[in-house]
Amino acid sequence: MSKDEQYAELLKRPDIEQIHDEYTKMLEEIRNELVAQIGIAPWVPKDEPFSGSGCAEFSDLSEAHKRRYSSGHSPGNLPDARWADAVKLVESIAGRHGFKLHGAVVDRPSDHEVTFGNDYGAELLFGTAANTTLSVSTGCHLTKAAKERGKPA
Amino acid sequence: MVAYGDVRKWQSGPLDTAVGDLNKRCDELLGLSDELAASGTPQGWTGQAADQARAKREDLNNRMERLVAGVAAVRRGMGEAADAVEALGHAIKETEDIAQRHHFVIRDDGSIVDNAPDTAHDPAHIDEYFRERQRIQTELADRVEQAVRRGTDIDNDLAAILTRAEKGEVDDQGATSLQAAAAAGAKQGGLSTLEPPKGGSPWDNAGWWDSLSEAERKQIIAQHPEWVGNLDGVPGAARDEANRNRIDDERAKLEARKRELEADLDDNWFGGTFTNADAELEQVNAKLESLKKIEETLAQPGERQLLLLNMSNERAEAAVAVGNIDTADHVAVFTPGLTSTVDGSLKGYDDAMDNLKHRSEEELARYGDGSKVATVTWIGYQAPQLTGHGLIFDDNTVLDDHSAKEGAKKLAPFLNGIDASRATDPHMTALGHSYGSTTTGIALQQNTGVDNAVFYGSPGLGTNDVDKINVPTGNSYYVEAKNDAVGDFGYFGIDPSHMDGMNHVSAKETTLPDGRQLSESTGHSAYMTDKSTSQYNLSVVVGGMPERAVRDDGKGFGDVLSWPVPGTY
Repeated sequence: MSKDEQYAELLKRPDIEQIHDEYTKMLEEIRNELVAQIGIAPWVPKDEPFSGSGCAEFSDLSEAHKRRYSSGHSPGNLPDARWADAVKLVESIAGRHGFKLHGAVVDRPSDHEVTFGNDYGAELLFGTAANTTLSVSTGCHLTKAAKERGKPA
Repeated sequence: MVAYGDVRKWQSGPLDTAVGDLNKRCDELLGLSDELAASGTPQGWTGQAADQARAKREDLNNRMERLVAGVAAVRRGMGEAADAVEALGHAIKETEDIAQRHHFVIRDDGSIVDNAPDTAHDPAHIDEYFRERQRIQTELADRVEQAVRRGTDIDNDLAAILTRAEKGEVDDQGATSLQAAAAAGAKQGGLSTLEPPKGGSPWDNAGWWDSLSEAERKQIIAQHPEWVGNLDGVPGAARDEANRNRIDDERAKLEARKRELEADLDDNWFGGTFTNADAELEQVNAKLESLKKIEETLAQPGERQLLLLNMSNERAEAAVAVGNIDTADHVAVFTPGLTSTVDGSLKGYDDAMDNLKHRSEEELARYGDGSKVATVTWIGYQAPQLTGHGLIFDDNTVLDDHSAKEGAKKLAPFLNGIDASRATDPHMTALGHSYGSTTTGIALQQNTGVDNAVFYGSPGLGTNDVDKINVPTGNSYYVEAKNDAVGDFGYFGIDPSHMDGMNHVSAKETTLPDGRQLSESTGHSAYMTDKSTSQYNLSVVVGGMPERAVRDDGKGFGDVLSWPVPGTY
């Protein structure tokens, strides 16, 4: 893709600040509901809940960004008997934000992980083994300023 | 000359006590200021006796001012010496701790004695045992050397201040009050800033840095960032701060040079035809672009450390960590290969390193470890470029291992520096791709303390023998993807696919025993693609979970052609 084509592709997507607001709220809702409805232990956040980088896939655009969000961990294993309910809960919330269940990454006793994806190339991972984890890697998105400019820098 | 046996006994307490006493004395002397002023000759008193009284008073004033200046100089000198001795004490304690932990004894003359108990060692790991002993012994010797250098420097500086004060040589700089004399004297009582050791090893540099007080470190980072930004053995946080301080200066220098070159070219009828000005201008512009890319990378969310910034060669060199190499439990250093530049490649590699860190940490969190990972993109050498000139005329051509050898000379101390700068070594992995695997392979033939090596798409490791790669036996891994012709070159040593003792891990589409689906990476440049088997293999080795790696010999048609003839290597 040329630089203009890359820009045109990303122009169709929400900007990275919108994505940040949306995904952080989504993750917070999922975490809270898992504690409230499934009964997992309260989450222990990471010191650094998210990081970011440029996009190797849109290498010509310096204003294309990715973010990676971690929820830290909820201590302990989410019991097998509640795993399916937990996945349904995550699916119901993530589904409102365009994420579809792509399938099981890991699925064996006391060790499960499922992956969700959306049209922008984002991936949400929800799993449990020794601890329960929840994370999102976004697809590539322009900054708000780059979108408003209407053309590549 | 100060001996190690002397400095190991030094204590800052007596110096602090002396500073307290000097403070009291100095305050007493300053308190005499009013009394001295009041002792002036009465108004209206004239004549010879009055003149003599005035002269006497003036002389007393001058003597008092010199005395106060001297006391103030000594007071400051003692105070700074107390801080310096305290810092030196910490450095010595760290050295002694390392020695004790590893069963070495440091004698008062500074010699190191290996005092390890006689135990049986696994013959398969005997080489790495002795390699590790030698590495620690070298570290201790270098740290002792720096402690003595620092001790000597403190001793010399303080002795010089005391001598000058004793001889009344501390100048009051024309002061007309005791307060002004005290201020003038204090200016002459500071200890000098000890420069880093010249041509020091990472352990020399670590020993020097550890011996500095917090105030001295801050002063060096602010006033001499070029001393420490690229100094292997100094902690990542300090290097990062120093290098960030250097960016504006480096940009200003490059912009000034750019203006000069543009003016030269404008003034020359033939442009750059008979000069190198146009070629240099291109390099300067690429370096300016490199600085921009570095700043964009550092501005990304999440911790970054700028561990290397060098604009003195043809192309910019830099190393950027995602995470914190001072505190991470696992540190990976990635060396890329052919065509890698800071301006063209840093952004993409940083994306891959952030992803690798994220994936490794999430995996560690889910399986209950919770340890931290830092991943470094190291473009600290002049990687070969694919230009016509670069291929044929450049010393750093991809057709020769010159660039890899030069790069390895810088990569090995960089790797050692990470260990040297920390009280406890992290679990460290060296990642080398393409020509960068040759650079990494040559670097690891030195004694670096690296725990694992993962090579991928390699034209050769600079050796035919995996035992020359100085990581613990069984900790070298090789990944070769389908249709990666570079991986079959066997140009700088045999194709690693055929190396006895190498662990071969997969780049193929895989279903893991736990049901996880991973994609195949093909060709030469897709090893770090997200959700691929090769990326997964990198992440589990980096995270200290190599037992989860997906094994595969990765051999394809190209490997049949690259099979070395027995007896020829």
